[in-house]
Amino acid sequence: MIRQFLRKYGWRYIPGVIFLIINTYILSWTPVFLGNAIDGLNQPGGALDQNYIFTQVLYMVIAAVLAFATRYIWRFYINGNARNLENYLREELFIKFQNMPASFYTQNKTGDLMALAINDIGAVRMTASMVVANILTGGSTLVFSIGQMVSEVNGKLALLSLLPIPFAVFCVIYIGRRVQRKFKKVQTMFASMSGGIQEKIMGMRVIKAFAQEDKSIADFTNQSEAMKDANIDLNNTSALLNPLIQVFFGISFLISIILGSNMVMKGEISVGDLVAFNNYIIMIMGPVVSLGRIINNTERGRASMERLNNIFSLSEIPEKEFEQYDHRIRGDISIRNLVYAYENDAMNVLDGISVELKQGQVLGVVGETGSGKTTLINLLLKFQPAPRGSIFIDGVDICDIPAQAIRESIGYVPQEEFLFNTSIAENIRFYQEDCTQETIDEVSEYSDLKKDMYKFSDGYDTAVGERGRYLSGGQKKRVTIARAIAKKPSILIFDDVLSSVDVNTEKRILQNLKKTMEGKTAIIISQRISALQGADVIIYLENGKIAERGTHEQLLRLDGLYAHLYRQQNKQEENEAFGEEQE
Amino acid sequence: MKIAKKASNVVEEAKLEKRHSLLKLAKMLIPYKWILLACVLLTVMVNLAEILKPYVMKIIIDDFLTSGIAQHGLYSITGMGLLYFVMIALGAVCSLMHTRLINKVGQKILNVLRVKVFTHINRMPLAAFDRYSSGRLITRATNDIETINEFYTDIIVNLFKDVVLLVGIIAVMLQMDVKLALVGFSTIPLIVLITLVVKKALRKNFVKMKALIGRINGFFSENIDGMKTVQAFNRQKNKLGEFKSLNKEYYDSTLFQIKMNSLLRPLMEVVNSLTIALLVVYGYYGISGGILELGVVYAFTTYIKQFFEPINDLAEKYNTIQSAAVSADRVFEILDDGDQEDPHAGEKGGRVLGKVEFRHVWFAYEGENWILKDVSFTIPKGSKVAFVGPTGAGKTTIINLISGFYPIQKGEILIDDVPISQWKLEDLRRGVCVVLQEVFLFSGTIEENIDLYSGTSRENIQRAVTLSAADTFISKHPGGLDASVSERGSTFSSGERQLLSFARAIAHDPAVLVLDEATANIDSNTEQVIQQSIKMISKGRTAIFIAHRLSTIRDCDCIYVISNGQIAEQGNHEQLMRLGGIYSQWSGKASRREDGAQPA
Repeated sequence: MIRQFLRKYGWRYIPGVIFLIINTYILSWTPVFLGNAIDGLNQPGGALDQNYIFTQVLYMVIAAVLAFATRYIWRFYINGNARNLENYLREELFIKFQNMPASFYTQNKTGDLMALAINDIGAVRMTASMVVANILTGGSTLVFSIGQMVSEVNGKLALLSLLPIPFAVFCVIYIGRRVQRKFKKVQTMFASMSGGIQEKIMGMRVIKAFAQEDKSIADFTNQSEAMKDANIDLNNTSALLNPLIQVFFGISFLISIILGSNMVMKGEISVGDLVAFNNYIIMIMGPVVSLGRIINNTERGRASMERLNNIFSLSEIPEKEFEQYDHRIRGDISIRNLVYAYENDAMNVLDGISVELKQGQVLGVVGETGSGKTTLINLLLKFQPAPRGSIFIDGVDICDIPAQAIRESIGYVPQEEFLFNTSIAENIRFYQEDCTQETIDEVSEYSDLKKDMYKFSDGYDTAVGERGRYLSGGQKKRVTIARAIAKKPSILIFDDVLSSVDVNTEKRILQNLKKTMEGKTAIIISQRISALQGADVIIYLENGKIAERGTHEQLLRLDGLYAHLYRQQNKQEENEAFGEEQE
Repeated sequence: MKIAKKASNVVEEAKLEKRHSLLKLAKMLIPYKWILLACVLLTVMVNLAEILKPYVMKIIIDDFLTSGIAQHGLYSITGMGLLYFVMIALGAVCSLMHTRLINKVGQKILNVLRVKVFTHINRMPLAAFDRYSSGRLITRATNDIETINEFYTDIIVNLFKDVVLLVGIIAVMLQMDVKLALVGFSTIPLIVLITLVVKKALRKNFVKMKALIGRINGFFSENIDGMKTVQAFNRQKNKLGEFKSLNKEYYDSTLFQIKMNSLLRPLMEVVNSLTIALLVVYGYYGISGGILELGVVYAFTTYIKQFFEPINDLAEKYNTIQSAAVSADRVFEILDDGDQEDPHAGEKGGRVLGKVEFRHVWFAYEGENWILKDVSFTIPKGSKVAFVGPTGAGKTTIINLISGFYPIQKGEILIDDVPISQWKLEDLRRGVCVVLQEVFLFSGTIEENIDLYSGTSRENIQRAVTLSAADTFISKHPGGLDASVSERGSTFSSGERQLLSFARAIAHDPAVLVLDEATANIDSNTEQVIQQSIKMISKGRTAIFIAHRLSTIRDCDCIYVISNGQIAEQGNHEQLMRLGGIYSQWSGKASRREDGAQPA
């Protein structure tokens, strides 16, 4: 992924690096100018050379302005490209997620996927800006400063006074590693403590109902104490870093002052040289101090990039291009001896399913949780790849039809209603350009949504809120039904939609749908028999097999599982007398 | 119930009174005053070393290098060099001790604050939770405390150090040469001006960036959650298009931030160089006039560099202080809210036997908005009753009141003939167990969820699981009772969660079991198991049902029909049917449906 980014935007690093090098080079001259100016001022007895001094001062100011300009440019390119990388990765991740199969989303929690998008991409950005800039500036500062020390001041003095620096570097690396380990521990503890707080507050009602506040507080107090100790431990270690660096550089200064001063006394170097020399040591200190941070951030960035690459390397559903398929789907569905099992799972989720549906027919599917109903839908929608030779649409093997073509012609109402954070109209239209206000009005009528419209202040333009939280459960459901019909699909799929609206709404929707379903093939999955009664064929799924098949009347006569369920539900319906007022 | 003040008043008062939150945060330092005093001394030492270093260099330059004064013992180049090193070493040691001490204090205070806030939240009555919302309380206890953490670790550690350094440098510069010092300070207004202008632009942009990244993340997670819908409708391209334009907008705002930041720091450096240039120019006139020594000019160039650091730092700190103040305000809003309940207070303790009585109870969650109006009933120990009625009639409120979650305005609630306000909340809630429709599961194991910190025996849990008929599905999970429960128990079906909550209630062996019957969709088999389980677990206890199913209702000793906050009808099934009121109408509707007739 990084390689692709570099191929596209890598060139931006070229001006960045060039100006960065120029920048540090210019900065490496300032101590020389300052030293020269001081030498100019240091003429005991003699008259001061005004021209010389003012020229040096002018150089200083010019250098400062040039340094400012070059620094501005390199920061813009290097840090700007880090932001660019952040955006690039975010978009790629977004695209990747869009191309992942349904199974990916059952295996991964939204929170974990969001952590990739927020934390990991953030860490990679930090590495790309802070680490890259620090390594480059640090490296070139080191090279130029030492170069100037040797060429402008004195090689021997430079060698001797820089002797302690490698020890300082070693210390930074050693302590940096330990800090990193402890930091990780603190982070893990913090995450678990925050999670605990969140859970306990959300579940406070339960804690209170069982009078367990004291235990909950004691539990938290222990956690908080441990967190405090871990933090103090971390701080004690990380507090060592700066003082240690200071001491090592102190030794450097000690050497440079004593040796340097004696050299001044002997006339080998000037006072200005010594001042410049000390300023170079200070310059070198910067990169050494930041070494610890560089190591930490590189490590974090590397780990994050690895996690991102793990996602990027997952295989997507192989897809044929949409344009290649211009055949309009009519809606004949033929399922022939369909056998399906999940990867790494010996058990068949679907086992020998055969169904023939002509255009305009309605299939009812009933069965308990886990009987394979949802898998059947996932295969039809190509959320999961179906085995070749088992599902045919309009006589064509589903494997040979692009998913886009299939989905374009299927109106799907999922089990869990999902609305986007926009208006009701936008949720129904869902980017369909030719969906007019009349169409929205019409489909709302069919989905029984219209009767609620007077409750919304802005009509169809009313915002539904995050995940549709301003709407009641039933309203949300009806919006998703309207959305599916608005598409004018050839095939309608209701994934256990009607069981969660009340019986009367269900009846109204079914009656309305009869009008719109003219010529449309429909698959209605339901726990509730009443929604299936009008279907042309009903199948009763049990453990992935069709246990019973027929029309409502036929199945009742059969007096098997279906009939049993029917009787049970009738009794239950009577039972639910007092739940009816609820929506 | 012990509630210090009426809740709503407290919030208003808190808003009126001006908070001195930062002061309160500072006050928490008082117990550590001696450590802090030590820290102050250490800071002074660190800064003293920092300030004296250039002075030592000045002596070397002026006394030995330029004027060649004779060296004696310590008063020599070697001596001064060693002194210079000792300064650094001393500064390093003092700074290490200072950092460690102050961090320790900060972490200790933070720990105290964290536990205090969490305890406070635990002691809030449910009414306070309604008022603040869980989300807000979670933010207070996590994010806000974290921001305050920065106040103690970052601000307290560095702020004082910066101020002392600044003051020290100013003092030394003035003492060495007043005019030169003034030259050095002459560029300060420029710095302040640049900082103010750029920071203002940065802050405005920062707000924009934050809003945009919030929208991006919201859009992103919405898309993950709704991926199935997006894919089923083939709308990936449209969503990507929207995302790209959001992303672009964010990218532009980050570029602006980079530009501004690239201006700020480098501009400071330009000003820094400019100041040094001014010092050299002034030094030229001073030295040629014979009123200035070279070493002083050198020392000043160093001081100016040291001088800029704390000024930069302080500008950064300002933002941290501001956000810490906001967070502290929020945290103290919670801590100052005196609405607390004490589970241990109350004269009456011990086991609840199971008689529940309401005497002319009036209740409103707020103001005069009465939810219950003059409700009276008596539930004898061991009997089974049902409350039925439409949503919003007040059924849930009744169960909230029985377990003492809210104080009533008028009337009396008695448990075992003792007013509820005299009961120890802890014992009352152990004796009266409410099972809600929405089951909350904690992450951990199944056993931990049933035990819920009470430390009951494995046998007891096993017994509860069997009795509540949860054993069948638990044994299906690998690990059985030790099977792990993920966040919110998302791996369990709603029926399974119901059964788990029954087991949890039974493991605590309450005298009164209050059960809010679920209306959620549960498949027929599980439904039957649950019905069976309800029968089993309510045996030998006072059982109060908020019921929807006729089969549950019919078996009850007494049925209360609640309508508009009042008891409209009461009696057993036969009596109510004979009465021919609301209840019989409902039942009638149900029976008609059984005959196949369609209700309108």
